[in-house]
Amino acid sequence: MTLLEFTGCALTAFGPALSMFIVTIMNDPVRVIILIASSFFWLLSLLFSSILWFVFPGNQHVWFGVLVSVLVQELFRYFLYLLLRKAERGLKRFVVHSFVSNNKLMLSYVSGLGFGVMSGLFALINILAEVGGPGTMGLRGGYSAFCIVSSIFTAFIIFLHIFWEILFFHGLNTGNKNFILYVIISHLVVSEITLLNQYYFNALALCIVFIITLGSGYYAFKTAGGQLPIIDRFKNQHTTTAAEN
Amino acid sequence: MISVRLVLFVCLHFATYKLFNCLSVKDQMYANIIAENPCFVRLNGTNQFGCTSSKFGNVGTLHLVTNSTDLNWLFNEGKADPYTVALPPKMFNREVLQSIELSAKVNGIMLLLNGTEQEVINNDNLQSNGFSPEDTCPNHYSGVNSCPMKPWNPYGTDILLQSWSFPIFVVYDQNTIKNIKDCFENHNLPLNNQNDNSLCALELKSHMYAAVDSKTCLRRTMMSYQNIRPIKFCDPLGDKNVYWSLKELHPNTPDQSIAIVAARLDATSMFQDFTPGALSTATSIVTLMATANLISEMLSYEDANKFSRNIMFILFNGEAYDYIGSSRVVYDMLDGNFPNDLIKLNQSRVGLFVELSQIHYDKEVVFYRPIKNNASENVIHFMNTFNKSLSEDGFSVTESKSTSIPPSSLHSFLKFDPKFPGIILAGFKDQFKNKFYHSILDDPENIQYGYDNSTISNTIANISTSLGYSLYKFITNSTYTGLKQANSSYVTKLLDCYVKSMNCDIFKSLTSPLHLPDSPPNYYISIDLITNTITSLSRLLFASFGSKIIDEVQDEESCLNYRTKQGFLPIWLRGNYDACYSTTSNYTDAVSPAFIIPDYDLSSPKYSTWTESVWHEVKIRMFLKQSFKLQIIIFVLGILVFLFSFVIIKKMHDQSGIHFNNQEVQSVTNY
Repeated sequence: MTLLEFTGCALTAFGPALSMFIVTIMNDPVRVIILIASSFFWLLSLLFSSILWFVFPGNQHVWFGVLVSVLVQELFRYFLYLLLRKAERGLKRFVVHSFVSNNKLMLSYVSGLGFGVMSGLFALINILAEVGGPGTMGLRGGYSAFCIVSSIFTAFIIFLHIFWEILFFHGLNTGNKNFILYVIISHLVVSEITLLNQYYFNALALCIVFIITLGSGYYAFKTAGGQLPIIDRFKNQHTTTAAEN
Repeated sequence: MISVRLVLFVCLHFATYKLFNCLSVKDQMYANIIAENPCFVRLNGTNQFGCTSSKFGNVGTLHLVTNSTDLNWLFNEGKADPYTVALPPKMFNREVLQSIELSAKVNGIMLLLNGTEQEVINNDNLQSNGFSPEDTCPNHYSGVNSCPMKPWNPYGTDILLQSWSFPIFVVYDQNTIKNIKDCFENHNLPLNNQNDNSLCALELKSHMYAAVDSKTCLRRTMMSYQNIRPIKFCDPLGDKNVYWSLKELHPNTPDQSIAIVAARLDATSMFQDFTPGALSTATSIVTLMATANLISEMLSYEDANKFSRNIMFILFNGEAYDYIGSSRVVYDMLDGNFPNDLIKLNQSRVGLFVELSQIHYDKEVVFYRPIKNNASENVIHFMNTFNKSLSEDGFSVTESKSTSIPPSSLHSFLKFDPKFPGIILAGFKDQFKNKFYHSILDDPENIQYGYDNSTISNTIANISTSLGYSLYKFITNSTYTGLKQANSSYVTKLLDCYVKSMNCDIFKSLTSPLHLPDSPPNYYISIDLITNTITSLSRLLFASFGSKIIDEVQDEESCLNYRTKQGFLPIWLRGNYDACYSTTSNYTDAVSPAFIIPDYDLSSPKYSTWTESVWHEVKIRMFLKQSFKLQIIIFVLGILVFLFSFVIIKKMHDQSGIHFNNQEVQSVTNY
């Protein structure tokens, strides 16, 4: 992989996450701490699922390993929620002016980003690590766009983790089990779909993941109470221009 | 969205629906190619020879070249440079390599030996064109006479004695060659749109530490000893000479009483661990060994002791590199140190020096000698006896009219004594018959060993017999009347060991249960720290000739400590022998005097100053190089994704009041 390809792939995968970090998180130390803490929780979940994999090796049944890993990740998402809840009061007392406690959604957004970035790093690191070498995929399996396709996948996964975190925490806050169920099922679907990659159904997998991301994003956006005034404004503009004419 | 659609298109385009094989990303990218035979750097006192890659390996787009048209396309139209060129042997010559060097578009070469050896030779017409990387006059600057008008090695291309700016590897594994060809055909053809696809490329890594010349690299090594982690840049070439004498050597032997029969124990080639040297050296060694065995049977120790004369058989090592072994022997003789400081053999004791050189399967032997007139009596007697005996067997025995003598160890002796009673028995007249002198193709087939062994074995047996009879006459001064002859089946067995596999009957009978390598001997002298396997085995073989068993010693350890008579050494032979023997055979150092003499000026041509570079890792990887077009697309995509996401997020953040309406102060838990 050349430096050009490396830069392209890395920016595709982590560009959105990086801009989110710069715009929304960098200025607040407490958010950085929460980001790191949630990354740590994702790592813990990975450790736990790899222990499970080690104890019950199922080399032939990767789908089962993925299933277990997804459930473990969701379990640790729940643990993170519990921890943040415990820490909430302490955090509030600690930093009076922090933005964190201003908005309950901010907490889930920040921890979701931490979850996503860490899982994205893990997904892509062994590909990006090949930056030192001069070669690319395609000689013995794979295809030449493998790296960039994986990077786009990773970008989607990072987005998804943010959305899932928002929905999950919201579900826990409001006691609505549907949110939690949706998160677990869509996470499972997305993870199992990546297995299609080995049969070279990349385009299909990418499309499905893209649709799920869009759907989850919209769902999370609505849950967070978001609205798109642009659409309204467009409508308004149209009506005004029509009126002027 | 455009970018995503583009990628979707790209991956649909490239998706080939076959089952995934469970390889890591790295293994899917790279295929390692078996590459144990790089061309490496050797240095002498003034120059650097051979090839090296850059420190991290040379990467080039693979290009298969079969004729000069392919090469011209590469020079004039190839756009995916740098290239790695895969050549057949017929293209592996000085003109092609130099044009490649000048074009500066190529940074690696692979020599492909496609097919069996016979196919390679026939396809490329090498039998008539020759294939020898040596100089046309080997050891050009260390002999006593200049290169004759008709050079000794007419097929020499001199590429061994050049410094190339790119790495060169030889590949002979047929599967590997097939993989390389497939990769080229699948990814690099058609040639006209090479910049649009991922191209098959190779990374050749054979970085050599040494540079400039021996002086520089030895100085650098010395200087690095002051560091915490010293680095070695090069090692002097060196090994051991091996000798055996019919009876023990005495300190006070009379003048002209010793006959020396010599051959060289080394050859060379361009590539590491690939020096078959069959005709270059092995046939001569086998002739010498068969003769030594014969003479030990003709003259028992007790019989030989009745005469004052003695015979010494020596295998000189490192002769391909400006006569390392023989020049050291001469140096030691002058120093009173040969074969050790007690016996002090010197040149005046030698009454006859016979050197065997490139004994050929053709029934032809040619004499070369430095002094045609006023030759010593011993030489004339020897020539007559030998001539008579061999002519009876249907050989053509002639004396060369050439005024110069071919490259041989004799040069070292003549340098110090122009009247030295030396004579060379060669299998060629005026020019080498060997088309593959010092090349990787100088293997059993080159001496017609393999399908019908009788020709070469009979020729060698006949020469050995005549040589044995002539030497018998030298010692006893009478004609041999016995019936002993060199046995051609024994010669075949010896050839088996010296050209085919070291794991052969004769060597096994001396060494079992030790495990011997199942490969032909590698005749390259290599560095002085390592004694070659073939050197040790030759010494053991010598030790088995006419040695007396020491009955009172039963185990190996006390054998080594056993005190023998002067001139003998105890040696424990395993295998069929499995006992302690006293032998006259031993090693002497074959390291050039240049590295022994304190403050020797390494740029002086007097002694050999060859050193070999140190290297760390040798490897070839095959992989696909991403097309430049796709690289740019990916790069631009990455930048765009980052910028767009940044702008959108910034905007959303700034206008979060518009987008989100529930901004009440609430805690996570506060619902």
